[in-house]
Amino acid sequence: MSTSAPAPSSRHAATAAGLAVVALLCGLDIALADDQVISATPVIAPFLTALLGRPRETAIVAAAALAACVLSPIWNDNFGGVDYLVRVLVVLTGGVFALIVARTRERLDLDRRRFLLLSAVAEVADGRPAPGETTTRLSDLLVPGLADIAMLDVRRDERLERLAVAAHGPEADRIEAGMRARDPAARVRALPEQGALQLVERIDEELTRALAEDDEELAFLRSLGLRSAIVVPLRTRGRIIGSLVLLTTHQSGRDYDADTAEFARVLGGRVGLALDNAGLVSELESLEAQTTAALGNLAEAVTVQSRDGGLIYANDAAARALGFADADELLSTPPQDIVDAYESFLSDGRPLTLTDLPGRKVLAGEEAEPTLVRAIHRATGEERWRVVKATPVLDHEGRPRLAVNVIEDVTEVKRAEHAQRFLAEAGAVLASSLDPDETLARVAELAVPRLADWCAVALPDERGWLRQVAVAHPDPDRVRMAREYQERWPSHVTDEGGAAQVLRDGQSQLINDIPDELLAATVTEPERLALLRELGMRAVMIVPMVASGGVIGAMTFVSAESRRTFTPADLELAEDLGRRAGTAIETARLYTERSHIARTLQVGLLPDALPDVPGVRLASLYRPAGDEVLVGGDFYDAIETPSGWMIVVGDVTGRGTEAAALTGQARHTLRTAATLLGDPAAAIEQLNRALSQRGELAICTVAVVLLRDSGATTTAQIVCAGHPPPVLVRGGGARQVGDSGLVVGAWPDAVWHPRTLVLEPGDLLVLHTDGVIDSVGADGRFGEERLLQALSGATSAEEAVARIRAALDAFEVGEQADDTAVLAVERVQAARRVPGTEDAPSGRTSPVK
Amino acid sequence: MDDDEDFRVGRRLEDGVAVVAPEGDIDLRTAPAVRSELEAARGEAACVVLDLRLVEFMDSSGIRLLVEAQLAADRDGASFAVVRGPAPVQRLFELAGLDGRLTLVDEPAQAASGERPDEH
Repeated sequence: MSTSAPAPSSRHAATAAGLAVVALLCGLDIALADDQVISATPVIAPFLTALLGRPRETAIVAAAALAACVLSPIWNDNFGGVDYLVRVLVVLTGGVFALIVARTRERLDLDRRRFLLLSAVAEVADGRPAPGETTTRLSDLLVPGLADIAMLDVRRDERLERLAVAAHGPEADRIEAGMRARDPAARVRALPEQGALQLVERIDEELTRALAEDDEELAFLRSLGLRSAIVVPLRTRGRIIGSLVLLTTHQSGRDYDADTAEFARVLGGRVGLALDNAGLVSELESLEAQTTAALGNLAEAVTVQSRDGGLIYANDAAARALGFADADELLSTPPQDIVDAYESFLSDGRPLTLTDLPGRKVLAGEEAEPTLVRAIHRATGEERWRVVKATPVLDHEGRPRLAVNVIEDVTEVKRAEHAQRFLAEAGAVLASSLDPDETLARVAELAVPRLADWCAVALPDERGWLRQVAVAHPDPDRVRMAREYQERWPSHVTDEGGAAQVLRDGQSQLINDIPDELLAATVTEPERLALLRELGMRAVMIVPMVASGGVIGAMTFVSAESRRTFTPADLELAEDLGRRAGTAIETARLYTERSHIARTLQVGLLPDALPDVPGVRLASLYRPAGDEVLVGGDFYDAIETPSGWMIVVGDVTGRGTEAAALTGQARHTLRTAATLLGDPAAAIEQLNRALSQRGELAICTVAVVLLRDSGATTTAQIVCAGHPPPVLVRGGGARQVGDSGLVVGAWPDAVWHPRTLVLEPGDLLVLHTDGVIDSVGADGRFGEERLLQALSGATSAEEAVARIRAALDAFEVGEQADDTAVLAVERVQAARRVPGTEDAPSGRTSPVK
Repeated sequence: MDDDEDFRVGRRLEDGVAVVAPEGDIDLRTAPAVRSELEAARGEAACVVLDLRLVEFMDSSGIRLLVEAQLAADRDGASFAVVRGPAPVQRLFELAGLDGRLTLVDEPAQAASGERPDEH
């Protein structure tokens, strides 16, 4: 039995030498005289053999020596004597001793050989020779010392590959070629590997059949005369990289035992190390190695999944992207734990499941589109956007064996895109309304939940209290809660920290992972603290709303339920929004101011109060157009002239400051002309000349009524210049009076003619601008008919004005484009009635012209 | 309120007459469009016609347009005519006293004949 020993030739030589000595000594004994008995001398032969050979040879020689000694009486003729028995005993004892010597020597020799083998392998391991040299040297060391056939099978891609085969003897080439051609998998099928060393003391016919894949192979294996085998798993750095297969054949005739197996196990460790050091494994995995090296340098995260979905490879970028220190840490983390570390969503907002990932899809043999995933790291709250693409690696049967995932981090692109879209929408919202509170409320709603879970806008009031003009959160109950909180514990600009601080110094604040101590330090009231804690704030940003005049408000963004934290990019976006909102609010305020100025200006174009005119009562109505910034062109006036009171209602076409200036000019020109001339038509002609002389076209329409009270009667001289005619309400009936005339300001040669009528007590004369009849309702324009209907039955100036106002309120829909002026004249003084003077021609009632 | 979408203004050359034909309401909002068409028409032909047949409503902005166009024609020695519109539009002409100052016709073709009623 047993192992590493001299070659058979030297063993045979030792036996031959021993036997030769026995024969020589026997010959000598025969040749010598009978009294010269040397029949015990063959005892030296086994000792000689023990020094040269192994116990087996020594035993053969010892047996031969003993036989020679036992048979020596044949030629010495001393059979049966004590002397004879002593000699036999000496040879026997000597043989036994020689055997012990041989055994001991063999043991020592084996140990020495094993030590040398281990040293040699260690040397190979340390020397780091070229891979090819390593295998050659390892084979040389193992064959024939330890085995008749040695093979190195190395694992690559989950498959075993035969790296080296070594045999010896004259048939070495044939054996090596035959073994190299065999698939190691056949061996594994016959001798399943469990990661532990396997010792097959006896390779029987059954196992040989199991090892052979076909008849040809079976014949080959049989030709080898396999006896025993040891399969040693090769380990390095905690993983199995392959197997060392040692076989004995009839060549050596040895069989492996447990002792040799134990040595093989130690040897396997060294061989594994040697292979690893030589870079053989990585060379074998060269494609993978090169790919790995290339992937390792990629900025894109790359992972490889095996068919069961588990990660078998990840580059450093993937590790970093998924929040791990390095690839090894990532690979040693179970996939579900990796997924659970994030709250992930698809681009449509649905929560991500493992089956949505393209890697799983391609492993299932499906097509997989690149998938956009938004992931919030639960621990850090960081938000990332990733595009995941997967490509299958097919096995030789065309089925997906691996999935290669490329994960591209598009967070920056996405953020920029979102920021742009968000700001664009915010810009539209900010421009949509001139009501600051409404605008800010809509902006706050826009920010939720895209930028934060909460958004609040605070503006300081005149007394320095922060007014929450907007609070947005998807849950109305939470909004209510926040409002109650603000009402209960209002902030003042002098307060420490928070929005007040931002309002004072204009510096934004960003706090991620708000510690509870911060809350406790900020708020002392227990109830308030409890409410604040209930919000579950994780991060907060407060940015100033900046306008040209400085900070006018503060916007607060809070992350709570989403658990995300804010990045510098988020802060930048929030600051941008703060600036835009600040500018918008300033614009809105300026508009309000302009609108106020416009109204003031408009009021300046109208008389402060209508004067007291003897015999008549006046009432007026002025309604500005919907757009309050533009000054309307409507005006009215009551002017005392030498010939009586002149009532004026006019309208300058166009709006805005130009129209306002023209209105002022028209009103004052008319006033001056009326006062000097005391004649309505002359006053209009004066105005016409003044306007016609202006460089650009300046036209207006005007209705002028001169009220002449001649004691007994009151007459009205009516002149209309492109203006809607006044309405006379008499005895409940309403009708238009006056002749139409040309607009003022177009043709300098134009003339106007008055229409005179006698006013009876209770008569109402209602002057108005086209804003009344042109006002827009659901059924079109208000028109002259509705005006007459509204005025029918009116009994006083106030009532007439009130009726028009009510009728317009009921009729109008939406903002009105034009302003509206009404001036109602009521004849109150009891006067003697002059029959037949109604609608008198102008010639009869003191015509002016 | 009149939407700008409900308003259109076309311009065409017809037998040497540039016809501007607004459709919808002429008011403060739509008047500038008509004004620019009238100006373009003046560059195209010595005879400009404003066809008001498809105009549903006109306010004082329209009056201003008509006055401008007439004054421009007078200044350039060109002719300007208006094709009468529906009753509300005609009523405005009356109120503004323009019937005596403008050439009112029933068809664009009538403008070419250069008929012009006497001025008041």
